[in-house]
Amino acid sequence: MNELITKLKKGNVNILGLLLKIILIWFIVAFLIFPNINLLLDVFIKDGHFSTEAVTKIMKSKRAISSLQNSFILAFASIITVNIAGILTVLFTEYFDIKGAKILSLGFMTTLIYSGVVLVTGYKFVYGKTGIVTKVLMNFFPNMNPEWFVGFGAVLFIMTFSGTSNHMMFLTNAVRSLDYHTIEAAKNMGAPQWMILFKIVLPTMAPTIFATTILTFLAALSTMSGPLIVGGPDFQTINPMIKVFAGMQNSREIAALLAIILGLATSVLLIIMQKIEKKGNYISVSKTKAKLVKQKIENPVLNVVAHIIAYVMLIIYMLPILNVLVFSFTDGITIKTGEITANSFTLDNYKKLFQSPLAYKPYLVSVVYSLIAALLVALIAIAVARIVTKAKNKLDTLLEPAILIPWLLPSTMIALGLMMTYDAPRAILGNHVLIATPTIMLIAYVIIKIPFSYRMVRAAFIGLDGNMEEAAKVMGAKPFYTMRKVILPIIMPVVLAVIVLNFNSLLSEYDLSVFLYHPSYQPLGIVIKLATDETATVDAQAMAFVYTVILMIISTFALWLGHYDGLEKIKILLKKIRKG
Amino acid sequence: MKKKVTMVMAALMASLMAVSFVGCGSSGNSSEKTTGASGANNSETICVYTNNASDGRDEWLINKAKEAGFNIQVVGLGASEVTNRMIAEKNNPLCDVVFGLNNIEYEKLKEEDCIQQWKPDWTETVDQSLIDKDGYYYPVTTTPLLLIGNAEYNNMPSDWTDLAKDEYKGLYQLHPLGGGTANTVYASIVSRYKDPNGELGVSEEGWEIAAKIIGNAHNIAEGEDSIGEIIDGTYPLDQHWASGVLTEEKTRDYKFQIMTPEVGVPFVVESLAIAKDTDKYDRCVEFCNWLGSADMQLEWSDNFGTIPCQKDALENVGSDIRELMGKLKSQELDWQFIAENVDAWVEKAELEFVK
Amino acid sequence: MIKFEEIEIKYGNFIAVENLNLEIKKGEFFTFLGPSGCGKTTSLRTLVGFITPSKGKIIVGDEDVTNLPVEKRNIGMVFQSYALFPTMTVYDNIAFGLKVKKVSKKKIDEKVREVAKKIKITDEQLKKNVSELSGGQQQRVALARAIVLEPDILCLDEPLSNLDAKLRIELRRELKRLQKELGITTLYVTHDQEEALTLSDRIAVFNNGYIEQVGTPYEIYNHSKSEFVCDFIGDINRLGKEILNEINSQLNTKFDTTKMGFIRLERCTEKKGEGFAKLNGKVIDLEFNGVLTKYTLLCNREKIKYLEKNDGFSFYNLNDNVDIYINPKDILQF
Repeated sequence: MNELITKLKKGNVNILGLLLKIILIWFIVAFLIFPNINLLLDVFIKDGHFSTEAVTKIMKSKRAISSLQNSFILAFASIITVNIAGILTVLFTEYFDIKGAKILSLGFMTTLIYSGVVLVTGYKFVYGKTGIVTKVLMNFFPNMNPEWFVGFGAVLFIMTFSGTSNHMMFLTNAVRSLDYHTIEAAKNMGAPQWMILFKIVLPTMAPTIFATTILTFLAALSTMSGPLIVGGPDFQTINPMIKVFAGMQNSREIAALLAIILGLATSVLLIIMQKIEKKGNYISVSKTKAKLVKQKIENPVLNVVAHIIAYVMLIIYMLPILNVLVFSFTDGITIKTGEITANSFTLDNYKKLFQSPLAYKPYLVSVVYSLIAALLVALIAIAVARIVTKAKNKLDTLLEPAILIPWLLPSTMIALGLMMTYDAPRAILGNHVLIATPTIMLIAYVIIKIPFSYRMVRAAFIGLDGNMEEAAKVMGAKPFYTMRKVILPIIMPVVLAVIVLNFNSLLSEYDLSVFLYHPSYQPLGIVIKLATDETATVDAQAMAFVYTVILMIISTFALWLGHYDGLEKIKILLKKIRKG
Repeated sequence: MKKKVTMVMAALMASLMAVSFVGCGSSGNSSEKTTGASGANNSETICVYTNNASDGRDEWLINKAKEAGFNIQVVGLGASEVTNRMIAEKNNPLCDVVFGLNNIEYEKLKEEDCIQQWKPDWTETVDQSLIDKDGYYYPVTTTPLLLIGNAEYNNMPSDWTDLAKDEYKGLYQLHPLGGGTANTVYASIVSRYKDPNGELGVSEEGWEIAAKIIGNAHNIAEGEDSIGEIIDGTYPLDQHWASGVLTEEKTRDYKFQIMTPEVGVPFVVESLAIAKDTDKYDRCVEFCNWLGSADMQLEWSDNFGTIPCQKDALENVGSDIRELMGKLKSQELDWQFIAENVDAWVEKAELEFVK
Repeated sequence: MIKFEEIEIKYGNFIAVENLNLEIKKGEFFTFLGPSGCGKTTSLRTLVGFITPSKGKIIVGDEDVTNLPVEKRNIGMVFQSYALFPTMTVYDNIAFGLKVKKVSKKKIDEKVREVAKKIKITDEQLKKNVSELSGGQQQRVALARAIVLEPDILCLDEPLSNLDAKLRIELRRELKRLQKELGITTLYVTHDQEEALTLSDRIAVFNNGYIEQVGTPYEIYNHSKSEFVCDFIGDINRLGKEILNEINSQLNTKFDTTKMGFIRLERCTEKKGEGFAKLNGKVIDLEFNGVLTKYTLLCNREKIKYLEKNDGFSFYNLNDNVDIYINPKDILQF
């Protein structure tokens, strides 16, 4: 303590930094720790006793046990398949010399602009009973079951090809920053192409692959739409069940217990991954890096095979999205039956959307919420990553596990925790009630996006040359100045990518929103869900496709801004306009 | 440009804390709670929670209300979500009027002390048996829940309990039990086997039948065309609410078979209630008087095919509705017993019966 | 100018530097020399202010700077990795410190161009992004960035280690010229003895967290105070028992034959001198580099290396027998 005072006197302590730390700790305690602990206590303690009734109930339920099993099967299987598909997409577009790589890249990027129910429905329409692929297959195999696209295989298929977004965003950068000299060196030593790929290229990308593996595992564990829509009776997973129970006042302890089981599994995975990661040395030792030259596949047969695989993958990626696009221009009956005729097409859906004065508001609400949340999350992730990478004491390193808490809980539980904790005045929030205010959903949006953002930003920080900050310090720069002028510009590509991904995924968020949104500010996810609800009429379901198409346009724009130099281009354009 | 970016960043950082406090600031202050709604006089804006907001009903209602001189704001949610939300918001209520929920949900709200007693001016003209005896909620529309079948299907069951027979295995569809229809049908079946000594108040026999019915069903997935599957014969039987059946028949130009059990079918009554802590009680009563009136209900029915509880309105609704209602009989149900236990029943079903 | 007083630096329980006492004069080019892990970089970083010593004081001028924050010490630093800011142009890198100090734009421009000229960075290069430069050019930028702030002290942490041999020699010379021109007190960390010898006014040789010897390059080289210094600063012959016995018997000297004797390669010669001992050996290895030939002889089962200038006359082949002469005064024993 005395030390601190002397340091303060000498001006050695950075007041702003200290303040930031206090705010962060307050945020973590108030929103990541307290509500969740409160929720757990609430559901497990009944009449002052710890209740284990939920355990018995789950053990008795064959459905719960098999759903849990299925969740884990899916999670582990998708780690393999998503990584294979993801690495292939990146290799085809960035590493190998494949004709039309640009088109491939655009096609593979489509997973970034739509997700959830719409995406899965898109796949179902392509491969389901009335789908085009099924119809084509039936021509060759007239005896096949038209409902073949169901169960584990179908769920895994969709998981695989919809889960490669992170690979496209982050692995692409890793490949681009490969030192080409290392490849040349290996060639020089006589290594064949496959060996270079497996012994040099992939190992250098290992840190990013670790990160995407964790994200894939988490996404598969918490997947909802896939199993619900194409899982069939034999392959249902646990998260839909958690959601059902979380929504029922008196069954929440079952939801909480199931969530805890998933959370424990996730923690184990995180710990294992961290151990593996620490063992390896991935810091590039190259002082001068050479730009990667795309590799032509030497073996002509393999070359043709690679081209075929690449384009088949492109078709797989494009069919569902094209389907969504086409259906947005058709009437409801066409969507239901899948039979497209000349009379199916109509512009009514779009007319309906733009004629209604209420229709644009959800977009506005969702865009504003998502944007503010994405920016706040980025700030928090940067602050925590910076503190953790420069950690001087125990408290600093404890920030990391705290900030990853939302990964351990399904979003439904997070929403419940917030609702049940801040429905009454609490000292930690200055005795304000959060529930039924516009703020609570924003906070929830921030919370669920923190772990992913932190993980990605931290990776960027680890790759930084520590001397850079010291150099700025020697030249007299204060930490915040250094942060703004030196560090941020360097990690900006990653930060922007994170912001874009968060923004896009929050645009149609439903699970949290349904509990927390303020009636005056109805977000898009709720509107879409209402339009596709079981009580909705046939035509209302066509509207869901229209909403999605508009959503995809917004997402594409965001992607272009953040990831494809859109910001730069706009700056240049503005400059030109100013100059006349 | 960079400077601007940093300024924006700094501002956002500050707002991280500020926003949560400002946001909370408006809470607890009921006069501010409906800001953002359109209307000249904010204090007069009535916030309506309902599960009847889809398909443009919300917009239609807002416009109609405006013509009648009411500024309203409509919050559309699923039925159980409306209930959960109102319970959660107990300490900071936003809702003034809640309508469209069924008795099960209203009983829960009553239990949780979320709604208050009142009396509309149109109680004389509705079926008195539908009115809550404690005077908390009053019926507006009614929705019989039906089992419908493919027109050519020649083995129509005569009662819900028939579905437990093996011959129907895999032939009928089941909506998620969280939804109103499946939930009520399930409760209507289970509650027939009331037994104070049985598990959750239901006899062994009741559970056996429930297990069969739920376990043998085809679970409808999100986005699945359940009606289409009745018509094409994949799963020829499905439960559906009456007004929906009529709409589907119109859109698809098809005539379904309808099961008419001797005990009757569950009539879900959709009622109207006023939230406990509203600060504009008088205005709410006026609004509810208007909304539940025969004229208004007739218009509502003409636009959205609902079945009004107002006798005057019911006499003037479309012929198809009248024809359907002529065939149906309301099943006697112990709503209080159901409301008390339905969550536990659903939990049991979700854990043990659903496949 | 700079005083290290009883400095001790700890990393946890590991003592990296112990009891460091050192004084560096104003305008001096002072080098910390030693193998990796000897504490030289640690000591430098303590002076700059990145590390706070667990004991002792650092005094610059008359001021105790031990607890002064980095940015208030007015020390320039060049890092081994250069640590240039990759998102900025060369110009912006050099101007960075001036911008921090809120110098006017005009003044910044003047200063940047002045320093650039001094360090031979062209106007073209100023506009480039640092990642477009070669290693040597990057090194110049790093140096320019440090001296543009006119620091009292310039610290260089192995600045030339990432460059190729020829560039290293070229930049070495320039560094020396620049240092004399600016008259700036310079601390230089290196593990390369040749760099240390050619550049420094004085050298401190570090070993295992201690200073073994401080002195001018001449003193360190010719009057090494320990076997470690002797060995680290240049090539050396180790004379064992048999050779020392031989020398003792030829010259009646009294070298302690239980210890090793040390002699620099260039002090073993083919030319006979007064009072020299004569050793005969067979050539078992030779390295010809143009100017010199380094022969390895086998004398009395011990290896002795010596250098011969390429004068165009004598040249030996493998297995030739050669006589060499050693002045006993050149033999060091510790």
